[in-house]
Amino acid sequence: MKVKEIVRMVIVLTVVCAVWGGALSIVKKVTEPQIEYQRIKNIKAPALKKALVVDYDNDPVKDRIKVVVGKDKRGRDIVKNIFLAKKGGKIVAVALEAYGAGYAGNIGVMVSINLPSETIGGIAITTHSETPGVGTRAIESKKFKDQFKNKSITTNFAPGSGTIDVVSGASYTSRGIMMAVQHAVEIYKKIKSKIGV
Amino acid sequence: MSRIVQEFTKGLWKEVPPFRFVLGLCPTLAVTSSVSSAIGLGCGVIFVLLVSNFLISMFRNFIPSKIRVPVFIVIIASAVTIVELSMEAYFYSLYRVLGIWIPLIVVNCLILGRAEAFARKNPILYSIADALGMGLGFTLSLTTLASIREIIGAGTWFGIRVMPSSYIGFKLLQKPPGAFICLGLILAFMNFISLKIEGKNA
Repeated sequence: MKVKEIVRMVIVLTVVCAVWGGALSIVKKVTEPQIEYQRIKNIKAPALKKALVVDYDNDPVKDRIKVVVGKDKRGRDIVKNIFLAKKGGKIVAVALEAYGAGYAGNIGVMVSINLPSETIGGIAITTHSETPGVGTRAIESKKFKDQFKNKSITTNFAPGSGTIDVVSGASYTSRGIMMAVQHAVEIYKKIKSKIGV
Repeated sequence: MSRIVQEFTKGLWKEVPPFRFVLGLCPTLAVTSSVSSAIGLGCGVIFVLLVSNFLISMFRNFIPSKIRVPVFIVIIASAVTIVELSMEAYFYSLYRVLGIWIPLIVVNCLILGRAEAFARKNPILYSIADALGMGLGFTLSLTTLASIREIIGAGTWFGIRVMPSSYIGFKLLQKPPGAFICLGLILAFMNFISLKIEGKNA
């Protein structure tokens, strides 16, 4: 009797968990693409809009493609979203997000590259945790960010190369942004052939 | 039939959850600073309550009473996760506003309370009526509280300005303590009316 009761409890709980677990995974599967779209649209799209300076007539968030850009330490693929801005069906710019180490953690920068000239269109910061009022001056400085504009992707943007002037007093943040741009350009060169431009 | 009506309507006045049972207060105080978020959370609670009451009542004879609480929690938590995922996918702005309060529906005493006190002892139809009544009562209470807070506190209703533009708002009501004060006043008012009604009947 005792054993029977225990077995019954185990079976009931197992069945309940299994059925609900299955149901949850179905819901997750169904909602996943929509959730990803919403996240990108609400978190990344404002920066994307700022970074893209060319005229385009599509929704770059919808026309994004996923590209494998390398492998992480555990050997899993690193997948990046590449946003394509099109005008009349032709790709006029691509935008991608890359990271560079700032003063406090990584700075996310959305970089757009105009095509076919292969020059930087504009950059916009997506995420950062820099000191307000100090490091953020580089993030807010239009003059600093405008230095990247129209520079060819063959330019070396890395700190110390002398192409970009840092914002004084916010040099760590400036360097972080420069590294992120450099990183984005390198990723672009690597995956260029995969997006067919 | 009359019992179904009775089970449904008791949630609307006689046993209206946040005011009578004073259950589920945490989200009540937190999300009632605007009417739209109050209704959003209310809808989430109605859905979870319906699913949990329905399933628990359907399987009430199969669930051994010793493990009923874990089974209830699994059912409730899964329903809440469904709400969370679909809200993030289709009502993103609402999802951002409600934030942590959506997963916290799991620990809303109201839901476990109804499962424990009602659904596990009653047939499906009554349980559904109970869930709808209680859920609606909860949503209406939240909406009432939120309306008072939003109109007096910020001068808007559903985000639309209802007070003259010179009205600067009563900031206290927008803050959690203001919710407490409002709740207390509503509670007192409802008790006052109930006493009046009872006095007449007696």
